[in-house]
Amino acid sequence: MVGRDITIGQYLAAPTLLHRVDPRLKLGMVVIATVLVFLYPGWPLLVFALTLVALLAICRLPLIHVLKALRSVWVIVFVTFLLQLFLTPGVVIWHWGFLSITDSGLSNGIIFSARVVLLVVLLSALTMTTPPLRLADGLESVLRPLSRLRVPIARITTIVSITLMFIPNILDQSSKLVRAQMARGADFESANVLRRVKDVIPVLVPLFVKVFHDADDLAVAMDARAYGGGKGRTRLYPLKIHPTEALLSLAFVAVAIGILFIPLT
Amino acid sequence: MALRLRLEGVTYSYPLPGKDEAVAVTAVSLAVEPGDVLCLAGSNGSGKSTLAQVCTGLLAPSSGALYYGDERIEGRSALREFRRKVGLLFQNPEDQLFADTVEKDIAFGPHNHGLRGDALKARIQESAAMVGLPLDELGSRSPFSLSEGQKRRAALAGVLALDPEVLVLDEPFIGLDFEGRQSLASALTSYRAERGASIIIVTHELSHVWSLATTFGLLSEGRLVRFETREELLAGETDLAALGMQLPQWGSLARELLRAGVSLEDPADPRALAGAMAKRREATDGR
Repeated sequence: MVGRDITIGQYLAAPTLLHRVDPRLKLGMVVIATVLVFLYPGWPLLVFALTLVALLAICRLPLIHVLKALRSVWVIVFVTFLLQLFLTPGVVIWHWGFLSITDSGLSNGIIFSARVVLLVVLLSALTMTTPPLRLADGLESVLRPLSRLRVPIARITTIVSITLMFIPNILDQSSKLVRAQMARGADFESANVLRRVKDVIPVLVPLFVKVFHDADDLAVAMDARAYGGGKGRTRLYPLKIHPTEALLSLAFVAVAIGILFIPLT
Repeated sequence: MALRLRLEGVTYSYPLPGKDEAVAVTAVSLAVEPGDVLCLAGSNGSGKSTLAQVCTGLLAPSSGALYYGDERIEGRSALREFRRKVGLLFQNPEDQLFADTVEKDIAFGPHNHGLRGDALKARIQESAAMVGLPLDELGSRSPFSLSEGQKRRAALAGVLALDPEVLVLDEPFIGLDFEGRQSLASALTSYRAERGASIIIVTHELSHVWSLATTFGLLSEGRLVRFETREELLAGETDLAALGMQLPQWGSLARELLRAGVSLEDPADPRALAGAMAKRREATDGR
């Protein structure tokens, strides 16, 4: 069924260590790790991947749920791999017609698709362990200096948090719409791809109508509860960084940067 | 003509993130005979909407079995074939409507079932007429521009256009005014009489289906607690309040009259109740 396996952006309530870490630290770790993922050459990337998986396992985050997030991006990973595989110049190791695979193509294919996979895992780990409102609070706190440059940070973070909150809602709604149209003979399981694409339209139209209605209703409801763009708003649960959390985050960043200097080729 | 629809020990659970699952329906067994109007009643969260979708084959039971006639419905192709015989009206009509005109929306289901040309046009006309939707006036309008009652009728017309043998309706009377409820009830009565269809109505408000239903299945926390006829409900053996429901006002009145020894021809007919009350008053005044 549509949406059941899409876990990107979904929060998963669980008593893990990562859930307790301050969202600002998690955001910092994800940003630094993202930069490093693009800086790592081949083997350090594998070491980082293993470190990340070990960290998630130690924190008892359900790895199956993290890996499920990959289901929705496998096409991107696969296309990235193929593009690198066939389009990178180098020493040809296999040749058939106009297609040829080079040694650099193979290694680049693996490295680039691994980077996409790691980015998805990092982002899923962040959204899975941080409730949308906490994430928005963290984001607002990190970006606050920009408000001096008249960037509407409070509004931007509200938009981000509402978008994140809407994702499970939209997935639920789309499942319901799929069932509603299946009851009227729409065939989402057909082997005929054209038929399946055609049958998506009766789901998309009511989904957009519903989402726009909901967004409109939410805007009115926020207005009715005196939402004023977030300026001067206080927090029910102020963010507070515990020293242990800070130390653990620093240790993670130190290890991640250290991997960059491992003399592996 | 419908066949007997039967659920045997059906349990349905929704998967949750992680390894958990939420059990919505537990070990439900029921049978709907051709021409029956079964009301599945229960408070919010009692599992009635899930059960309705299991009855239509849209949700395959996690355990237990669904039978239509003598055939057990299992596997994708059997479920797909079964769904052709069942129509489901969702609680919110906007979950079903999508086309740019009402006419095209009604045509969606029968077109998917292979109906074309004049036969398709005739089916659209017939279904719209059955729910009292004036196609010449509303047929070319967007379904999203209709009033709430009209949307409900358009959605029902889209379901009836499938010519279902079993009709499942999820809270069909919610949000309708008195006239809308009356017209929907009469559309269902005539569809049942003309096609010999079975009807399952899911509701939390017994008053909406009091005169329409032939049997009431009372649900609580995903379990089917009891099956009762209207007369059994009036006898008052089941504590409806404990299930988060209450008898409709006419039902309460009928119960009091029956307890006072007044015989009622049809306890669901308000006119019969009013007549019985008038007779009783005359008898009391005459004493």
